[in-house]
Amino acid sequence: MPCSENILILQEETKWGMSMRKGIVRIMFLMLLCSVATGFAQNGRAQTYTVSGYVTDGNSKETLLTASVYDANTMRGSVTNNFGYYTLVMPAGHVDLHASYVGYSKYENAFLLRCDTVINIQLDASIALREVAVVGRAIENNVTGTQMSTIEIPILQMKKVPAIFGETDIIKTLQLLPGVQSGTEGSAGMYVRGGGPDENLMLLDGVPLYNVNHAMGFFSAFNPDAIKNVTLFKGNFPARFGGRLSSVVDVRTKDGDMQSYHGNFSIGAIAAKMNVEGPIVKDKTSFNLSFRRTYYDLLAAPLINMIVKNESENMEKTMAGYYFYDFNLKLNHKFSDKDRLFMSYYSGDDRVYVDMKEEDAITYNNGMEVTNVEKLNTKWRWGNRVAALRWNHVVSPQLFMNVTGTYTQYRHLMNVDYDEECVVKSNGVLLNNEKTGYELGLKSGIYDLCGKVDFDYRPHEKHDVKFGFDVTHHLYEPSATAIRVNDEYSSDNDTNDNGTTINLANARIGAWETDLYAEDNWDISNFIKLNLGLHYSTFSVEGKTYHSVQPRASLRALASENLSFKAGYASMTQYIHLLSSNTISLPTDLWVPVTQNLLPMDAHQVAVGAFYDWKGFEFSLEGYCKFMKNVVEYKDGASFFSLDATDWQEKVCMGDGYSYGVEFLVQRSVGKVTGWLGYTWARANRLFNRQGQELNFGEMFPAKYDRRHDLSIVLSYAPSERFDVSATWVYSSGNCATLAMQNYSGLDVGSSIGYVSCRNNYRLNSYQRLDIGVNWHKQKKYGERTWSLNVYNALCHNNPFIVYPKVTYDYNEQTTKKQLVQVCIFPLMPSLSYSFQF
Amino acid sequence: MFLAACTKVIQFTGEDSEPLLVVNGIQQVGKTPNLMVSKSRFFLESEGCVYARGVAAKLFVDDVFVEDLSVRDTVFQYYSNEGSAEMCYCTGNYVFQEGDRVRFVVSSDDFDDPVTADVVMPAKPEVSYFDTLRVIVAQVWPSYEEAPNYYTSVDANGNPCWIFEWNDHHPETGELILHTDTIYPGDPERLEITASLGINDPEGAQYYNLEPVEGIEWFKSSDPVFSDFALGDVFDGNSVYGSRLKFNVFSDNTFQGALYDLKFFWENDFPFMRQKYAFSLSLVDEHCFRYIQSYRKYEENSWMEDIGNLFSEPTQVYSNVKGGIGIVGAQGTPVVVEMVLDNFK
Repeated sequence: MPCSENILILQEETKWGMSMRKGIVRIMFLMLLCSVATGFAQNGRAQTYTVSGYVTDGNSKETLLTASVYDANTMRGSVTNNFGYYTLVMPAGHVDLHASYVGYSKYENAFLLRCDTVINIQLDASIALREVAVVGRAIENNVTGTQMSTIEIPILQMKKVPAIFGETDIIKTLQLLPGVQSGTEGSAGMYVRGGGPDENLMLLDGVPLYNVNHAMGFFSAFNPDAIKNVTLFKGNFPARFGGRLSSVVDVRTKDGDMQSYHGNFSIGAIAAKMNVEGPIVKDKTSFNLSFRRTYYDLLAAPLINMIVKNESENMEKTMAGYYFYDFNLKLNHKFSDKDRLFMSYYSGDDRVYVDMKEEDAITYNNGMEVTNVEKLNTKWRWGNRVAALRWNHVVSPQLFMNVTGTYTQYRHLMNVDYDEECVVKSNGVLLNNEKTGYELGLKSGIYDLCGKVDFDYRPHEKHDVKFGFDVTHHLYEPSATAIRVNDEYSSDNDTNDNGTTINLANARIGAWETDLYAEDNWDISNFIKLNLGLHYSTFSVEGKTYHSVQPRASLRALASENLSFKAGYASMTQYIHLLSSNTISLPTDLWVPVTQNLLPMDAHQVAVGAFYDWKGFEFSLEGYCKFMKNVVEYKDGASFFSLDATDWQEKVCMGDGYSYGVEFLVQRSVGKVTGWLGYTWARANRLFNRQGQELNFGEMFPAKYDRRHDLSIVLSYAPSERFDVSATWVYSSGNCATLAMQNYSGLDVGSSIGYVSCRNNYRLNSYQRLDIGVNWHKQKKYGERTWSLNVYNALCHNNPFIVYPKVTYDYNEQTTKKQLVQVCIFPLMPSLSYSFQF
Repeated sequence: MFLAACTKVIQFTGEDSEPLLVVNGIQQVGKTPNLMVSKSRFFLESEGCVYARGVAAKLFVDDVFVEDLSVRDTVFQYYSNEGSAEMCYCTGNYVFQEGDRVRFVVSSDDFDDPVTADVVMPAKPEVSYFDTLRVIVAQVWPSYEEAPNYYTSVDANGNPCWIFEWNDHHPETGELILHTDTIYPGDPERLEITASLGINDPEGAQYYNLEPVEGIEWFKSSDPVFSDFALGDVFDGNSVYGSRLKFNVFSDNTFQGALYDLKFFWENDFPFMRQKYAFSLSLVDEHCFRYIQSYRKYEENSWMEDIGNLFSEPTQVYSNVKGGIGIVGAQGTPVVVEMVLDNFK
C-alpha cells in the first residue's frame, strides 16, 4: 500500500495548518493596515506629487499592459495596470522618467516635478519584433518584482511556437512552461502544480470563461488574432484573484487601433480566421473584430452525401458535420483622458449536426401503395457567450477606478429528433397513417451575472494599493433531459395518439458569490519589497453561506542587482467543481456548485525561489508545496458517462490533495535566438479517507497527472526579416492509469477478480515530441504574407493517448491472446497555412 | 484526426506482472478454520497455472501458535472465462471463540515470503425486540387493483411487516449481516419473495424502503450493501432453514452503539399459503464488510469494464492479506428468529 505512513504526518500538518491559518490572517491583516497607514503617514511628511497617465503604442494607440514606468534617479517606479494606466508618487524635484516595454524603444523624459502631472506616453515599436520574445521588464522584472510563479508571454512569441495543424494555441503554449502539465496527447487541459483541470481561472478580459476547449480539448477557445497579452499565475496569487485553486490565466484582448484600419486573415489545415481593427472615430472610438471557424465540415459534406447515396438510393438528404467557431468583438471609446468605455463580446461554439431523410415507396400490383419516410435530425452544440461592459475612470491622479458588468454563459444543448411515417394507400385512398418516433433533448449550463469595482490607488511612492469587490449571481443547470415518444395512428375511421413525454431534471441551483480584496505592493527598502493582500469571499447556496478569508503574501529580497530571493504564501478557495472524464474534454463535462454536502475546495501554497539575470538570460528556480482540501474525484466505477438518473452528488467524493515540486526556467527574450528551457520535478498525491468517501481504501494514491519529470525546450531563430524557424521539444514522464494487473479467484469459487493494488498504479510510457515550425514572410503591395509550415511530432514518436487490453482469439489454435495496446493519435502531422497581414 | 491514429503493443515489464499468493476464507465463531489458497495470474496471460505448490498454513490465536492446518490439494476445480484452475483447501481443528484475535500465516513453494492475514472473531448481536404486529405504513401497491393476489406486505390490512429492534452494545466491533430465509409447505421455488429492507433513520424517524437494486443509494455516509443471493457460497446461512437466502450487509457506522429498528416488508404473491420465515442476524468483521462492499461494486461495474468503459475508474476489491491478495474475514454467532404465518387464507 502506497505512502500510508505519510498520512498521519500530513493530517497532523493539516491541523497545524488550519490553526496557523487563523494566525496568519490576523497578522497579515494588521500588516496590511500598517502598511497603508504608514503610506499615508509618510505621504504627509514630504511634499509629493503624482505623475500618471496611459502608456500606449505610438502607432495604434493600443494600451500597453505591464509596461515599466520609473524614475531613473531613484529606480522607483511601477508598471501599467490592465488598462495601460500608471501612477507614480514622487517627491518634488528633478525626475528622469523612463518607460519601457518589450519590443518598443525606451521613453525618456527629464523634468522638474512641481505639481501633479499627467503624461501619456507613446512608445514606438522600433525594435525588430521578430527578434523579441518572452518576458522582459526594467521594473518588476524577473529579479526585481515581488511576484513569483508568474509568467507573461507576448502573443507574438506564442504565434512563433509550432502548433498542431498550424493553429496557434495559448493553452498549449502555456503547457510548455514549468509547473504546467498537459492532459492526454493533444488536449488543451492544464494541470498546474498538481491541481485539476477545473482549478484554473480562465479570464477573458477579466471575465471567467468556463469552457476553454474546442474539439474535445484539442484546441482552445482563444483566438490568438484577438489577443494582446496573456499572463499565467501559477502560485502566489495577487489578492485581486480568487475562485480557483491552482492558476489564473489572464487573457487580454486588443482594444482596436485608434488611428488606422488593418487586420489579417489566414487559412490553415482545418480553420480559417480573420481579424480587423480600426477607428470608428479617430482617436476616440475603435473596434477589434475577429472570427475563426473550422471548415472541414463544408469540404466533407458533399463527400458524405455522395457516399451515403451510393450506399442507399432511397436516401434523399444527408447532411452531417462538425465545426467550431469563435467570434470576438471589442469596442473602445475614449471620452477623455479620464474616462474610457469598453464593450467586449465573445461567442464560441462547437456544433455537431446530422440531418437525414430516407424515403422508400413500394407500389404493389393490387394498387396498394406503401410509403415509408424516416427522418433524423440531430443538433448538438456547446459553448460560451461572454459579454462585458467596462468603464475606466481616473478619479484622481492617485486613484484609478474600473467598473465592470459581465455576463457569462456556458450551455450544452442536444436535440435528437427521429420520425418515421408509414402511409398505406389503396388506389389512392388512405387506409392508415402511422407515425412513430422519439425526440430527446439534453440541456445543461451555467449562467453568471457579475458586477465588479476595482481601484488602483497610489497613496505613496512606496505603496501601490489595489482593492475592490464584486458580486456574482450564478445559476447552475446541472442537467435536464426531455424525452418525447410519438406513437400516432390514424385511419379512415380511427385516430390514436399514444405519445408520452418524460422530463428528468436535476434542479437548477442559484448561488450568490461576493468577493472583497485589498493588496499593497510595498517598497520597504531598496532591497526588501513586500506584497500583502487579503481576499475575502462568500458563497451562498441552498440556504447555506460559506465564508473564506484568504491571505496572500510575497516577499522579495534583493541580494544584488541581478540576484534576488523570493518567498510567498497564498490561500485560495473554489466554490465550483467540474465533473469530467479527466481524460478528454467533452460537452457532457458538468460545472456544479458546492452544496450543503459538497464543500468548497481550499488550497494553501508556499513557494520559495531564486531569480537571476545574466547577459540577457533570465534564470529562476522555484520550489513549492501545496495542500488542497475537499478536492473531488469520482467514486470507484462512477462515471459522468452513465445513463442512470443518479444525483451527481452521489457519484463523487471529497478528499485532500498534496503536491510539491521544483521548477527551473531559463529564458532569453531578445536576440536572434530566443526561447526558454523549463524543467519540473513534481509529485502530486490524493488522499480520500473520510468516512463513506474512501478511495483506494483510504490510502494515499498518485493523482492522475502526477508526473515526475517534465522538460520543455522552445527555441526560435530569426536570421532575417523574411524567415524564421522555431522548434519545441517536450519530454515528460507518463501519465497514470489504473490497471488490474492480476486476476484471482475470490471467495465465490469460480469468480475471477481483477486485482488493483492502488488507484493510478500503472504509468503510461513517457511522452516525447519534437515540433518544428518555419515561417516565410514577404512584404507585398498591401501588406505582408506569411507561409507557415508546421510539423507536429516530427520524430513520429508513438505517444500514448489511451492504453487498453486487447483480446484476440485464434480459431485455429483455439487460444486466447491478450495484449496491452497503446493508441497514438498524432504520429506525425505536417500542416501548411497561409496568412496575410494588412 | 483519428484516422491518423496508430496502435502499438506495449511490452509490459515490472514487478506487478509477478503472481501473488491468494488466500480466501470466512471464519465463523463456533466452527473450525478454513482457507482456500491459490495464486493469481498476470492479467495478460490467458492461461497459466494458479495452483500454488507446497502450501503450508499456520494458525495463531491471540499471538499464540495453535496448529498447522491440514492442506488438501486440488479440492476445487472451477471453470470460468479464464479456464479451469485448482486450489488448495486448508482446514484445522481449533474451534473459534468470540473475541479471538486470529492470525493465519500462509506460505507456498512458489513464493519466497509467507503472507499473513489477521482477523478478530465478532461477538453475537443482541436482538431486544421482535414485533410481528405493528403496522408501519399503510400502503397499497399501485398494481393492487389490476392483480388482486398481488399484495404489498406493509398494507394496513394485515400483510406482514416486522421489526427487529437491535441493540448494538458493541460499538467498537462488528458490521451487521442479516439473512432472510423462508420455509413453507409446498414447493419452495414457487414463492417469489423480493425482500426489501428499511431502517429507521435516526434523524428523521422516516422509514426508507430499500429496494434491492437501489439499496446502496439510500445511505450517504455508510453504504449498506444489499448482497442478494451472491454470498450464498461464502457465509453460513443456517441452511437448515432452506435455500432461499438473502443477505443484507450494513456498515457498523450506521448502528454504532445505538438502538435501531430494522423493518422488513415484501411483496407476497402467495398470501394464501402458510409460510414460515426466519431471520438470522450476525456480525462480520470490518475486513469482511469492506470486501463485500467493494466486491458488490466490482460486480455492478464489471459489465462496464468488460466493454472497455474508458471514462470510469476501475473498482478495487478489498484485500487484507499482507504480502498477497484475498480476504480472510470473520462472522459471529447468529441470532435466529423464526415465525410462522398462517393468517393468509
